[in-house]
Amino acid sequence: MIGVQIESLSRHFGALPVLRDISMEVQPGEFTVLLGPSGCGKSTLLASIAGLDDLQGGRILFDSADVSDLEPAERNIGMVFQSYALYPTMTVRQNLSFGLEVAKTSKADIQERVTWAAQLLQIEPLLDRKPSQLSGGQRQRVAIGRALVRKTNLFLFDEPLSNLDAKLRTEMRVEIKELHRRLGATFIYVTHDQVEAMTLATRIAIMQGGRIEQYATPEDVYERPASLFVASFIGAPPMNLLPATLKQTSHGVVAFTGDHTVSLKGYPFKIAPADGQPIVIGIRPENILIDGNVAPTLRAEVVVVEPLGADTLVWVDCAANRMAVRTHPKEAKGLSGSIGLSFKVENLSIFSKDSGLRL
Amino acid sequence: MMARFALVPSILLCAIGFYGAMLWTVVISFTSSTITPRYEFAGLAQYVRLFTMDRWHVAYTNMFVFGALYIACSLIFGVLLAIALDQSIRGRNLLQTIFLYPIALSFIVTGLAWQWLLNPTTGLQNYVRGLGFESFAFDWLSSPDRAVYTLVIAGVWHAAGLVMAIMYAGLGSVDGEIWRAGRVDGIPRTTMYRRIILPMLKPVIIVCVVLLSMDVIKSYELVVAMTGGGPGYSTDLPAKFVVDNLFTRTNIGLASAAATLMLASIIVLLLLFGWLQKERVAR
Amino acid sequence: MTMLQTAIPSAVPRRARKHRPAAAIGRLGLYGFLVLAALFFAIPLIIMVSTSLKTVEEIRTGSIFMLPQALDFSAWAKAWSSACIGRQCEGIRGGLWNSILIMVPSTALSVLISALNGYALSLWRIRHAGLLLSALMVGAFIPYQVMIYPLVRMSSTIGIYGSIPAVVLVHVLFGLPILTLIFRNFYSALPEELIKAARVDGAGFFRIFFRIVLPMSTNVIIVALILSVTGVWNDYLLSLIFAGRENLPMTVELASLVSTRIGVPEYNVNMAATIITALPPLLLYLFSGRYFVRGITAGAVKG
Repeated sequence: MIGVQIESLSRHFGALPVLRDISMEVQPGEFTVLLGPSGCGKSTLLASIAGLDDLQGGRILFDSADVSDLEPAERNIGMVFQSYALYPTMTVRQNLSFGLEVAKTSKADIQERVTWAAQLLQIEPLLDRKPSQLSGGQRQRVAIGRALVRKTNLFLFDEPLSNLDAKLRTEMRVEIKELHRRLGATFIYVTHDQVEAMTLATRIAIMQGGRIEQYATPEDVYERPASLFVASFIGAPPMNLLPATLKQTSHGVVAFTGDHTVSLKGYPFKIAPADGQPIVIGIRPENILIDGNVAPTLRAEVVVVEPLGADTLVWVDCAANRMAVRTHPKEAKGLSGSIGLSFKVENLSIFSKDSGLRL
Repeated sequence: MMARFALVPSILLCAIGFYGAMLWTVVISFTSSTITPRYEFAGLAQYVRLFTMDRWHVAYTNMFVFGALYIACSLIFGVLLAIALDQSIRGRNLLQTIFLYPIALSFIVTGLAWQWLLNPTTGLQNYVRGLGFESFAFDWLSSPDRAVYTLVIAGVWHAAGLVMAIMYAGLGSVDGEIWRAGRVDGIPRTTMYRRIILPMLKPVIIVCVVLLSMDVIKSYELVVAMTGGGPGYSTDLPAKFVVDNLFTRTNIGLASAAATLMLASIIVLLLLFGWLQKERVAR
Repeated sequence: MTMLQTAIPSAVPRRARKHRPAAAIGRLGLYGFLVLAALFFAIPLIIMVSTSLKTVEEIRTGSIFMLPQALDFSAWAKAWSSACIGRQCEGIRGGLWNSILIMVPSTALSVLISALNGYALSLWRIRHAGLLLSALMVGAFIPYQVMIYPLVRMSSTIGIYGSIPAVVLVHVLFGLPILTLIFRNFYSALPEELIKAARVDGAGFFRIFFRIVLPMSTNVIIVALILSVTGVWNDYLLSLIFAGRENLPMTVELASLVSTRIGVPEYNVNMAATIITALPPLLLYLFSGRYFVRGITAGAVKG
């Protein structure tokens, strides 16, 4: 198991900054997912860890040994690429053994490792085929196998499932998680698919504009997003966001949004709130209750009802904001016109409107 | 309906111009024609005569010597140039322009330029001797044994750029992740090219070989401009043999027999290529 | 590697990785190879130009690598208008006009016909389209020598042998295979829906071709034109045999000029004539850049 420390990494292509002063620490044995929209720098960060990209500032340490100046092969990593990057003219066996052969590993040793990897991935019957004769899922396994034979404890995955169809992607996702459990090695995995990130990761690093917005467990990322960006990126549909203004009153802190007043009493502010500060209130669709009470927190107009099977999404307009409410199909039946909504303070996320950060 | 109609002129033109003409040549080769075609069956007489001619043997052998060297050297040189240009170097556009311009020139111009450069009394040999190396000899152009190699030099000069351009495009089409995978595997660049990239580009290389082979079979003008087939007939090629016998020696029957043999050689080559392609698909 | 790595404190700029000594030597070798190769390709042209600017006296006494002492264009003038070709001493200027007279109809016709062929073969349901194309391509692989004598007989039968129409006809014939292939490959990439939509609108075969397909073909037409122009301009054998003595183009005139021996060989005039002849395709190459390369390699991307 290898821990990876990244210290104030920066990288720009011409005038365009791709990584801005990134620091993070991946614990040994962890499954870290780098998640973000395209162009956020996640692939560049992975390439820097692999040594495929030159750094312009900062350093990378594997178990506190500086590897910044090492060639990728000297870092002893296993890497799986988006296009699989299998050597097309070689058989599966040759694909697995070629790197070892070049590194002058003994024949017996190569044989042993290839057999081990092939068994682990159940690709033994494919060993004498060429990549062009394999299906997408099989190629994916071979690509993982090529990383496995390197006998390393650090595996890097660059969007490995994005070329597979939806069904295979689900299957391979389970297998990769299973592989992580069996190997106990450190995995760093790049994806733009939040479902992959949520299901696989022990910790997710959400990136945007060359920065890490939040590096935390999937639960934390989902329930306590560190910024407006994270709140709007994670979840489908994403967190509802309501612009509001803070007010200190005798009853504690309240927020004004449109005609409504929302009590924030009991909200664990990290920074003491200032009077009159513009904020954004975030609330997950499933944390909103449709409330028949006389005094609901908010009133809203139903726009459309979308049955999804297990649950139903109710889209409503509240002041000028469109919000999604996730509810039980039974409850959603016959909803129309003006309805009342309520939620608990502990389910809220409050962000500063200016900095976009969680308060 | 109209679509088929539109093709008719071309089909007729090609059927008569290519296949009719080929057939006619084959027919003439079995007659005793000399100055004008005489349709009098003469069996294999023209072929027998052809095979007694030393000049034909020289010409036919030259086609293979020149062809093999021309294809091999153009291919190796062109591939090396393409790989060199692929190494993120400065001035790539300029270099590419320089490597490729000979392809715009005719074989006549190519032949004249190299004849001037390799001419022993005025060219390179004279220059090096002038530098003080009195015994320096580079007189391939006037040596019956070596003159065919000067054709190779000029031919490679003309064609290497083409191979470079095609291969460079091929190298550019290789998925960048293959290179990254190679770096993670610790495979040196030269090994990558030798064991992975070039084998991947085998179809592109085959295309180059086909294009170069077409040049070899058609190579007539280079010989005319550079050596005129000489010294003696040491650099004669079948193509030149045919034209000479058709238009200056008026041996129509003999020329047609030679042309028929050229045709047969090409059919064999085409079948060979076809078979190789099939093998590749089958595997 | 590890030693090197410990020797460099991690505070130094990261570019260090690229500056290993072995790599530097490799770079040097790489540039050395490229420069030598560039010389190999450039020297014949340099020598031709420099020789054409020398006087006969300079050529006789100096070496070919010596640069001319003064820029003397008299050899160019002589090659252009007064050098002897056989017994006629009028230079190669006559050949230029003949070249153009042959080139314009040859290229125009072959490009138009090939475009039509490529369009018909790729966008319309023609039975055995693949077979037709292969039958056509065989024509590109067979040397002229195999077909040339019967073609001479045929053209004299219809009474055009030894004239510009004859040479144009054979140029069109031999240009068809490659050009048709280029157009077919280009048109195969066009969406079939385009033709279907036009047919629904009631347009016929030729209307679709001239109003929809041809206007979309600018790039491929340029490629085909360049290929065709260079091919026709640089041709020697077909023009020599079919054009007739009065209509010889520049490339043929050049070969005759060089082989005409009257008195002292005037290498400067020969080289000037060579350059003048080579100039049009060379300029075309320099100014058309990418298109030229695409034209040359177009046969390579065979479907």
